[in-house]
Amino acid sequence: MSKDVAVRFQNVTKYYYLDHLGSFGVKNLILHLPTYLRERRQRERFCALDDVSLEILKGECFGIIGRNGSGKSTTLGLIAGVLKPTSGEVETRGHICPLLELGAGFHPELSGRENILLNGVLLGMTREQVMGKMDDIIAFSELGSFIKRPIRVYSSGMVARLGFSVVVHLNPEILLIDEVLAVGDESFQEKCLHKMQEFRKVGVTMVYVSHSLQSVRSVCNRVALMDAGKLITIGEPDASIERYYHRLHELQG
Amino acid sequence: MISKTIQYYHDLIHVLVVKEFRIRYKSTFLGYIWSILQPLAFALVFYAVFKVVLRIPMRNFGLYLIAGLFPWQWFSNSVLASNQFFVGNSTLIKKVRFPRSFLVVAGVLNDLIHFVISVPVILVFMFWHHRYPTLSWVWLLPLLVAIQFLFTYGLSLLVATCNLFFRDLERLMTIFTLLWFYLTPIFYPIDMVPARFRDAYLYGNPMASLVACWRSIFLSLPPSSMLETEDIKDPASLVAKLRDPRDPVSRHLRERLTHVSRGDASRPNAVVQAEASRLLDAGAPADEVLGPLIEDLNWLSQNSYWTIYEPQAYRDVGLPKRIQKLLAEQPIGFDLVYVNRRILEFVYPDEIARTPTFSYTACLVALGWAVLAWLIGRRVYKAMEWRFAESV
Repeated sequence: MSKDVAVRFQNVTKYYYLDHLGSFGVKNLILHLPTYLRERRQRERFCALDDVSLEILKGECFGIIGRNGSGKSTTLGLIAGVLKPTSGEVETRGHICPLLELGAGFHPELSGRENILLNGVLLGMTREQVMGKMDDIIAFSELGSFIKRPIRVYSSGMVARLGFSVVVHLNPEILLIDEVLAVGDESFQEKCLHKMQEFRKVGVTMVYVSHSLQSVRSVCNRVALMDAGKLITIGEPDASIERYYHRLHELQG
Repeated sequence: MISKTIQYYHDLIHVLVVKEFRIRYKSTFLGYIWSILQPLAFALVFYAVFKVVLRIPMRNFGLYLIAGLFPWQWFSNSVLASNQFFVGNSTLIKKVRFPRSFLVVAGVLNDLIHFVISVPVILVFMFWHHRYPTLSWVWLLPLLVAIQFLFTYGLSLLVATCNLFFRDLERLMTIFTLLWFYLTPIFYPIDMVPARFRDAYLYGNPMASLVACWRSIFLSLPPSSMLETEDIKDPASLVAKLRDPRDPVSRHLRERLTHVSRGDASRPNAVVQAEASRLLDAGAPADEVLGPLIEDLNWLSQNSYWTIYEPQAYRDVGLPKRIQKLLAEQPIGFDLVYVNRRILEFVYPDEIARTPTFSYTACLVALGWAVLAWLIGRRVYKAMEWRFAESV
């Protein structure tokens, strides 16, 4: 893998098996055990990614768009290293930092401050590092006095703000953003997009999955269009988005 | 680089434990007091059932109970909670790559902290019964904590992993843990288990070994006080001494043995001539007498309301202070078994082996189980880890 590549997919295929032993239930397991064992290999499976090869360069803001179930989140999961490809190879270089979706990694009973610490450490910082940045994080989140209250009293927009605030202070090398900014209000969304552009300047690699094509257009330099687990095209944001619209119209018409 | 990794793991465990600790009693009025209140309430229920209603014959039953119950609760709370260690953190597992086994480490550590908080309660009970910590605690306590931690961690890791793929496990574990609780001598002494099963009972169940060890620390009680064939170092000499008509203690013992009532079905309520005493009188060889003798001595200990002590007979013996103190407590039931054993060991020092208070055998067996549980748990976890994000 050459030096300026941050993420590399080589013929990556990912299947999800839709059933496992437990989902059969006792009755079916006992009645159909021979069938089950025979057909183990050809179990019903779902192809989430089909032979995808791509390279994301260092310092790029790489957008992924596509309809629901097209394999965007699976791609992020494979980059984050929480999923293992069924075949093919995923290579990454640099500290990967996923921006957690609403509620993930936060505990509703803990205060904002406690959650910052928990989240920061889970994402790879030491406690000391998080404590050192605590004030900056709180200031960025603009939560004010709410920071001392448990998260369960927060609105969904406030939780998203907190999550984004933690992640942007992590000094990530590869940042994964999965449709989290949609819940924040206009001014915070703007702040986030601004921060992302700042990140681009300092050379942070970003992978941005979103249905908000406007924001994709404004921050990404390359965009991949996916459909049903296949990579349709990679190219300039305008070109990919144009193609996406075209496909949508085709399906409707 | 390595020190940085260790620092990070340390911090990760720290925040996860703090999280578990904070959320346990959040929004409750009594808060952390529950850490002590809950195990105590349990103990109270068992005390009421087994001491007040079923009247288990022991003087210090309260201390006896909590010395086994509190360590057990650490174990069972962790194992039951482990069902949720992975399933309950699904959003995290789906998104972030971090060593997931740390969720289990943090969960078990959290219950360990609650156990440590409850230890002062045991201390209060100890002082109440005039028992005091000894110097050996300094290393026995950490040793036991380490062994129980390893065992609990191994099993919790296994349960947490398997529950991802087989959710029925959660229900099964509830039933299984209850059964396990009753199979572990926590509210009854292991002496109640028939002699031929006692070893299997004690060593086949790691929690039974551990509870025995905890008890020997908190109560200075050996796992069992019943006599066994291996405890008789010199059968010939013991039998010879018991036959000696000039020795007042032996004479007294023979007298007691004669009155052992074996509850003969054909002659209910009758005091029958006991086997051991008959064989002794008949001048049978030592190895023939030994079996019935042990049986009768155990029977005598367990079923009489007196000790084998009698002031007149023991006039010249000069029992040591610690035994006199035990006698002054007027032991009953299973305390009696213990005192009688101490007296026998003192009167026949060359013939009957002294039982050490702390059973290193039990400790080692528990360690063996712990390592096994850890290896299996780790193996299964490693094999399944990459499928976690798809299965939660």
